Amino acid sequence: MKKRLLTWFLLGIVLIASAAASAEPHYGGTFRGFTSADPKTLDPAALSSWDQAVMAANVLEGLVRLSPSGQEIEPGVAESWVASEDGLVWQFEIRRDAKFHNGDAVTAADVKYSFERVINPKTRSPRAWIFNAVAGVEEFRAGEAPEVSGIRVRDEHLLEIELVEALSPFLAMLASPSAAVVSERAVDEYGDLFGQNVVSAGPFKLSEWRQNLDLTLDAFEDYWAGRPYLDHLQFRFILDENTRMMELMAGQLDWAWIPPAYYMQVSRDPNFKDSIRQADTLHVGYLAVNMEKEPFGSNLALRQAIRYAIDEEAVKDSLQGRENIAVGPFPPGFLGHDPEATPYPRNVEMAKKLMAEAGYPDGIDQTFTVMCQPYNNLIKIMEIYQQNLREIGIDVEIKPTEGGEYLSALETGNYELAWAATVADYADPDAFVYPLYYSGSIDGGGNVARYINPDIDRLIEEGRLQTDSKKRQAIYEEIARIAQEDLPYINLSHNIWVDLTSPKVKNHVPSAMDMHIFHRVWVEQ
Amino acid sequence: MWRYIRARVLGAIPILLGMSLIVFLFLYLIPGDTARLVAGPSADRATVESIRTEMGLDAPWYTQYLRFFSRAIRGDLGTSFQSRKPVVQEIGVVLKRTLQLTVVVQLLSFFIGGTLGILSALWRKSVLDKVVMAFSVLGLSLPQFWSALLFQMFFCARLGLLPPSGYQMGWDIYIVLPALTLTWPSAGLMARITRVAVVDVVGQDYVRTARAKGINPLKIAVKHIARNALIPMVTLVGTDISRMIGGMIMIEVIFTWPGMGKYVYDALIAKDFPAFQASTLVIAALIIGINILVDITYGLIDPRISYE
Repeated sequence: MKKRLLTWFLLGIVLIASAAASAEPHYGGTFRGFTSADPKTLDPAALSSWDQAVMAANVLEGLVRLSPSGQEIEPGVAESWVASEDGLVWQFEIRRDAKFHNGDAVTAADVKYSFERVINPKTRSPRAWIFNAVAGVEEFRAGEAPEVSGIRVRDEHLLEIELVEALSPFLAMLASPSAAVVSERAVDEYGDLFGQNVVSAGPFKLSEWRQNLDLTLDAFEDYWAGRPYLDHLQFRFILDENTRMMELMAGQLDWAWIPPAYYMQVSRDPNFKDSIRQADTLHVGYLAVNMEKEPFGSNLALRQAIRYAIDEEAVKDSLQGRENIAVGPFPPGFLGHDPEATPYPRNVEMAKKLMAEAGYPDGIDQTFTVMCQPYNNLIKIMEIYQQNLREIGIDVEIKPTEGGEYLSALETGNYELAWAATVADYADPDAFVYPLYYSGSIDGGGNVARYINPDIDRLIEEGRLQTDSKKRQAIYEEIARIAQEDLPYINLSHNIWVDLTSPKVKNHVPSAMDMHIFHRVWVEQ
Repeated sequence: MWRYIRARVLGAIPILLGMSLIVFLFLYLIPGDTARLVAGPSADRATVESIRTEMGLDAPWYTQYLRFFSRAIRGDLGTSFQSRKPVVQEIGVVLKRTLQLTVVVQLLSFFIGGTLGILSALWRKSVLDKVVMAFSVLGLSLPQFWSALLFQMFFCARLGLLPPSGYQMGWDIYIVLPALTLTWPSAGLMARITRVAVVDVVGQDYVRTARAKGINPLKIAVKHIARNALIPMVTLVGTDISRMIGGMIMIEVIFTWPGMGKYVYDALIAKDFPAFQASTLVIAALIIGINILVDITYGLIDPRISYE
């Protein structure tokens, strides 16, 4: 009897131990991921596209970094920081054990070098604007000063940055891969080819890059937060979303974005249904109204009528629930999002009433064009909207427009209505409202509706200066309220990113910012 | 013959020159702002303008073209706007992959399509003939992306025999599916062309005479029939290769076989002048080269043709 009990007891321990062991992350293995195209360059000073952002944060790191979920800012190369009372002077303490991929130690001087490199017009960096608020940038750009006076190396591990005026989102901007620290020695060594041979301080380092084919990263042993569990992180460049799913189901790929057509199948498949993850992305999709054109630009009732006519629930259903219906510019869970805000539920009666109020009781006797990008999934959604608008007497023609022409038309105001989307460049509500609603952002800054509202301008400026997060919440809620009343952008949806990993992948957390980090991801062997 | 070749090569130069100017103008005039495309949608106006100045994109079009031209004749085709790498390097990599697929598909189409075509012609109206012709029509009418997906589903998802996509060395298992998808229509066309040519030859008097004289039918087949059918076959190979070198973007995307097609398309969308111009020049030069080769091959096949 005793022997039996002992046996069972020991067996129990072994079972518990092995269960715990299989839940323990272990080192080694390769994660085979994807992106839709070759990023072409990972030089922080040359980053501008989605395909780069998706993987850049695994190689590049700056003073601060984003958490895997994309919602928090964590210490990066800087272990701590402090801002002065007035928010103008920031001091960053660089950690002693931060190293570059080539073994050199990271110092405050390296950070200054990296920032000035991005600011320098000769480098042609698309993201130079994140440093616009730093003191001395203007003089440096104009060639009047040999360095940026606002970036000061206090000592080997202490960097001081002085701003021209307080900027609350500044820290979030510094988490961008464009603000990553790079090794000056490597830049000199590689010259023009630095983009394909970046040396930074992130958890992975560049290993093999086969043009238009794939990119492999190796674990960086000396990463300050501990080497990644994975030995290798691979990104294959697969444009076709169906091909990715096929590769994953054939066991050749470990990660894929789930296209709407596959969602049903995958959520029922016992092999895959527990490996589906999603994230509410920092994205907003909307119909932009060119406020300088008639009749929509000057007629508020018309714009509101459009919103009441639109059946976003139907669109959400067509995507199997994979989007959040927008009640303002901010996605749920984000600072400034007001869960109590009233949405504009579909109400054809109300819409018709507003049409009459607007002076068009029998509809508008004109056909308008709605410009959008030429993606099949998107065009199907646009057809739903077209149908909705026809019910209240607004006739629209869908005009799919390719990249360059689309961007040009939006920027110059050469359109009547356009479907567009904005993805936050940095994890702060300012990233939505400053480009979209600020009058200074017209003609290239992102204010494609050409919207001018001094009240909103004032609030946006206040939001950038205010450091107290409760007060900021109130400011951005107010901005959202005005935005939803005025509707220069008829806010429609927030994307939900849904992905699938192969069953052996553990601890993957998809990012709200589309910057997926694999530092703490591990694979079962 | 060498004088002929030299004359043809020299004649190609004005063609390439004219073409490079037209290509430049085309890319320049289509909608889209290169500086904005390089900067990305979130850059502010000042950044875009700064990039525009740094890249020399604010100069008038003829200045930009002359800058490109003066560097090109010295062998410097520039660096890509997107990656900042020398375009010659990039093109070398993607062209090799396209050529690998092209060579395999052409060899298969030539031998399989040619043989089937000859057999169909010799056994006209037989079951074989009908099957081959039906197969060929099917290959030519089905949209390639459809047959590609079909093969992927069957050989990968269903049977698990082949990888759905990808590229490793080029001469390995990954080439099977894209080659299969492309060979079907190519071999189909080759079969039809060959059949027509052979039928034509077989009807000729000298063939009837040879048969009447009792000459070994196999000898007839090789000496007369095959040789005469070769001319249209070689012509087809020439035009088919020319078409495939420009890239087969749909196949490249579906099978993740990153070749010239995708490269040129990306360069076009991004208005990446150096990449686009260099790739079109390379493709044009190759096509001209292939045409010269085809013409010389005629001379080798048909003794009536001479280039002296």
